[in-house]
Amino acid sequence: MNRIKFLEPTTFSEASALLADYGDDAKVIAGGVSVTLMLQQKLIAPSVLVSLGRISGGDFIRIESDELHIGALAKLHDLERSQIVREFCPALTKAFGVVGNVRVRNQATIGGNLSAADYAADPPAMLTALNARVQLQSPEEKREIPLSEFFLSFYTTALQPDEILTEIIIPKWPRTSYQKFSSISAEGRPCLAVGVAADFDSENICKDLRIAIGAAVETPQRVVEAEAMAHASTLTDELVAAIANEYSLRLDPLTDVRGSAWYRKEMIAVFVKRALEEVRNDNR
Amino acid sequence: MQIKDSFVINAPQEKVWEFLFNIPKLGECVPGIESVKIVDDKTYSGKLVVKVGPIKSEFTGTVIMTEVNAPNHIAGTVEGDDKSSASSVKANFSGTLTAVDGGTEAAFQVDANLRGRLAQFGGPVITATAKKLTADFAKNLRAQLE
Repeated sequence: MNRIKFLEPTTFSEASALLADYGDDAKVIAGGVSVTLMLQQKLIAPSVLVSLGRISGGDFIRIESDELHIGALAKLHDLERSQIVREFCPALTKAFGVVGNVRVRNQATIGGNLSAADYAADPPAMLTALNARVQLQSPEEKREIPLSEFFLSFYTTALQPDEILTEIIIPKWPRTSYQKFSSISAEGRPCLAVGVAADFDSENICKDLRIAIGAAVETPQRVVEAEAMAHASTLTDELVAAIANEYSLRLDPLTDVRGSAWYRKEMIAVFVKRALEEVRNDNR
Repeated sequence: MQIKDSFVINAPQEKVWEFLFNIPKLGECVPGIESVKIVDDKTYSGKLVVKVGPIKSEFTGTVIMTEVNAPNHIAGTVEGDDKSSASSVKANFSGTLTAVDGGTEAAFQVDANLRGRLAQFGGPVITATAKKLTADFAKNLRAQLE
């Protein structure tokens, strides 16, 4: 049995410097949800774990110039209960609150959830719909990229070996919806995740619309042609159905234990429609 | 699990066929191959490293050719295992070369059986990884032959 060295830096830049030093032998651990699973199943065998647990102040939730800033170390359960998040974007509260179960959410951090890049997850689709951005810290610098450029493929992100996700920045959207569809009741993972962010004028005419599909595809995906159909239009039942069908038609979902590609195509039409109806009817 | 794919190379069929049996050169084109050894004229052994996100697996194994019909058809079996994740793979494969407009089409089909811890990743992750490896392989072949 080989021993794992457990390092506990106190700042993000110190942590990323350790990653640069140890290279491939090191893995980052925050809440430890996905890392511990992979360790237990011997899918990874790092000789060094760089823990982010001693970094203080990395779990903030605050509004700055009308955008929501979330520290990567914020636990999903704290985000789910946060009044700031709820007032800023109720659909985001919903997406955080349906991940796994309460014991998982008590432990899992939002940074870890995104960095694991597990396709069968809730937050990525909602955050992609909201056009969120992420901040990545290397020993030398901090860079910011849109979340849409962060997910590259299954379990693979744009993080360089010495980079750590430190912050998520979310723009304000007047109306949002999150729809999760689970096909297996005994587990928390979605078969399909649909996130919608929209803006309407005073006549309830759609000014802007973003729809992101997750869990049914490798990385969260949008169909911009279908989103554009809503532009400067009233979301009538016909238009909602047309957009939902366009999503179902244009996406190429995957087949796994939670559903076949054909089944997921059908469900995409159903849940995009429900999400669009929710934002249309949310006429406050 | 079945994996099916094809690609076109802008080179004459004979040249592609010949290259496929130049094992050391072919090995250089397979993404992740770390070593290849010719055991006999129908048997090759080697080591393949595949990375999916944080997970790195190292398969050592053997390829046995069961059918070789020059210059268009091959078939065989692959057996290998990855010690660190206690996973093993057994696969039957077949491939055909067809002369098409502007070059040669290489088509193949793999019927693979993956056991052990890696298998929990499930079909979509494995087929996507196979697709990526195929695309890289095709790119390397083109660089050598075109």
